[in-house]
Amino acid sequence: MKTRKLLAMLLALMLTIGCLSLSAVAETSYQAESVVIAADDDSFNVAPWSNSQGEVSMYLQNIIWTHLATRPYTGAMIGAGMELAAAKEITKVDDTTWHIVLNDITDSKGNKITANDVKFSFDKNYELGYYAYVNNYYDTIEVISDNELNFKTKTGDEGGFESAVINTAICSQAWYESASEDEVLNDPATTGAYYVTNVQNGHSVTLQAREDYWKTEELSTTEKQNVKTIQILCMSEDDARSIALENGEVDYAQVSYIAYDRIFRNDPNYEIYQIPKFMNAILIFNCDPSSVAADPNVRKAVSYALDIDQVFLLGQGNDSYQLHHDICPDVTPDYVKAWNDEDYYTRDLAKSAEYLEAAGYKAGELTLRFIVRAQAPQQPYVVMQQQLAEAGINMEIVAYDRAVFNTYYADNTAWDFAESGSEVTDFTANFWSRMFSEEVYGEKGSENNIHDEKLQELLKAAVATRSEADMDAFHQYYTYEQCYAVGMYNEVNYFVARKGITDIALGTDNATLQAMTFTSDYSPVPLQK
Amino acid sequence: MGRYVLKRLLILIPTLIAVTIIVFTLMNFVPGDPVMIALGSGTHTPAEVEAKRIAMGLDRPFLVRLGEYLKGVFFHFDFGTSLIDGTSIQYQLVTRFPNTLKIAIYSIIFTVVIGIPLGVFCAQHANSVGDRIALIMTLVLDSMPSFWLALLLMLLFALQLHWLPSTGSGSFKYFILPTLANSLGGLAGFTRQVRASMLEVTRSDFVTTARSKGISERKVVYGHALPNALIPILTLVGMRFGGMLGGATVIEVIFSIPGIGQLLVNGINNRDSTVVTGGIVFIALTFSLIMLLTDLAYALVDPRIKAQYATQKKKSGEEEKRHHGGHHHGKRAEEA
Repeated sequence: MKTRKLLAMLLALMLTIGCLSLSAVAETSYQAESVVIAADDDSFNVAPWSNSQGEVSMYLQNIIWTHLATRPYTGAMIGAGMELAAAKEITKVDDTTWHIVLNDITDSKGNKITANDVKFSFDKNYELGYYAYVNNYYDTIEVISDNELNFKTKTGDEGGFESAVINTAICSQAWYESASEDEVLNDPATTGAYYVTNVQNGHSVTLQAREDYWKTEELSTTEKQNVKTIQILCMSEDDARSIALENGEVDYAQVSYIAYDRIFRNDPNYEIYQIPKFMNAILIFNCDPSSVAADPNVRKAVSYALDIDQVFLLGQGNDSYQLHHDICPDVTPDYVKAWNDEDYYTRDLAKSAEYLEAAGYKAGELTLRFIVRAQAPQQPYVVMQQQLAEAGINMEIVAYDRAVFNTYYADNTAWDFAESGSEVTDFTANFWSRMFSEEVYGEKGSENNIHDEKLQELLKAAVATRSEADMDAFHQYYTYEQCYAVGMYNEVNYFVARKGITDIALGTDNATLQAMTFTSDYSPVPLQK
Repeated sequence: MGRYVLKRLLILIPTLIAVTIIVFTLMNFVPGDPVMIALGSGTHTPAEVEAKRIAMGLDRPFLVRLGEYLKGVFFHFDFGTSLIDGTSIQYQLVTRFPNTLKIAIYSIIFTVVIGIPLGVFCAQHANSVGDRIALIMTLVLDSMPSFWLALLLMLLFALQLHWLPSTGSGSFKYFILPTLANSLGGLAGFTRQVRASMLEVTRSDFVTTARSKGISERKVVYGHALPNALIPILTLVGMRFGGMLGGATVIEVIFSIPGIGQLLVNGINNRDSTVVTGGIVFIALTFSLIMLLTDLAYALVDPRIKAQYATQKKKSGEEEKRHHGGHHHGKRAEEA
């Protein structure tokens, strides 16, 4: 009897030790217990689909919701860099059809996710119309079985399927349709690697790693759980974020150039990450016959009169930018590196004068209307104005409130040149297409009213093959022969993290806070209540 | 008194309806297409834009939409949904209002607790060195822009002294700096108002009479002069409190406090017309209610208003009596 008791006690002891050691393993599997992030935002939405394009919503999309696949870097494609998440297999059947096999997915409330839920998610996202890429490319989903489906796109455009997939969060139809608004906005049944533990509307959201996450192997970047708890705080004031970081209230924040330069740049207690902004600045000419900029000589006279480097440096007072040698920045796989060695439009007043004369103007005779948003910093434009004045070209800055800017920008008689901005999602060719394709702009021809058959032919070839020869042919034609638009710069964002955070894992297409890495001695700041 | 409350409540209804109609109409005609805002960035085909317009009900005539909006606001407290994230504005208002209310309450308490004694002190020592110092101090605070004062307080108490958190909206300590930044600026005006009111009252006959009766100066000031001096101050407090409920916009943004002011700023920045309309109507509603309560409190503490209504009541009672009496006389006459 005694022996039995002893054996039982021994067994119980072993079980206890086993459990304790298991829980210890579970706890130490996270690189960090928590991380508190101050985001440049003042509102967010944890719902699967929303029009909110702020920093917090951007983070949340990839932390709490799963997608069929995710894009770890700009230009990654299915079979070429894209990581599968909800999908176990994706096979291209034909130009517009993709066969998809799903993983065994459950949400944070235990609902099983089937192919019907995936179809519902895409249909709902399409119906809401928040994501242009989804509406432009998603056609329909044909459910084959619980975990198999055929995904059809509207066109065979390369990158279209990928763009639709990364912009559609997947959730349970049963949950979404039965949940109250309060549940959707505060306690959603998340399908991603984290679930929501606390939401303070407009202030903070706290997320916890799911212990029941449905995938344990071959995790994509967005499925990592390097940190157990993530708290994101909304702080729309630059100074407030810097002070919170200095005061030890947050672990990581985006700061202004001034704060970076004066406070954090040389402080060994912080890690600095410089990441280009998504939107890049482009100088675009109105090629409508009613505009003086319809003449290529005028466009070239202006372009050679400008020194973009100085425009930013003097205008903004800092060097937080990257210059371009194309309207698309050098971040895509089809960007031709040789362009970076070209002179591009280096300032040359003699050449500018030649083109001005060729256009039939004497110094001081030509005036161009430059249309801008009144809210944008105006200093760089004043520098441009001075540079053009030195070349004998008058620049009239016409500033409109952003609410009416698009109305005037769409009016082909209201401007001669402008600063435009666009986001790069995958390829340089696609970026050009969104700006110059007559298929996108119809009768308007292009964003800047170009009607040029040769341009369209070269563009089609570049989009179809993305070969270096075709890409270069289009680049040379639109840049140097016609000067339809000139790439300017991408401003840089400064992210500052406390010592111990070794990688903030932010990219253009994925903001993956859960994939941050930490040193073993990293000590997080307390979570805010 | 009941009639007074009823009268004020009845005035409130057309006021709110008028505000709602004006705001909805103005927001309807400001530049910018709500459909394009709702669709977000990117290229949208004309068919997609039209489909969204229909889905949002914007293809219907303006008056129909206005009617539905009024019905939603006044019968269901429904302010519509945000164009940006699709959440109901009622949810936004209800979840953010407590923060704005906290800042407003703390700020008004701070203003009253500091402003009244300071104003009384200044009145008692009018034109003395203390009065002048208080005047200069409050004017200096008044001349500081609140966003600058907020940042200074943040730098001092959060960054240098580490006494208080710089941002957030958790416990009471998170509201100390926002309260100071929100109320210090307005303290000058309030203190001067209390001072002026006290000076006026202390020169009144009843105060002279009280003094001549040999009542202690303390009792004269706090027992006789101050209650009378506070009557006009009550309106000021009510107006300030009502204004604060509209959101201490700058303070909320700087201290990252999700309140009504921040919601409105977001709405304006994002051209989210439904949020702006809902926010303004809500502010108008709270402001009107606070002003109603202020007027009621005014009526309670001001014996003249009480007396006015009491006289009216008495008069109407007498008239009724006369009417009834006449009726009885008539009856008697008939009987006779």
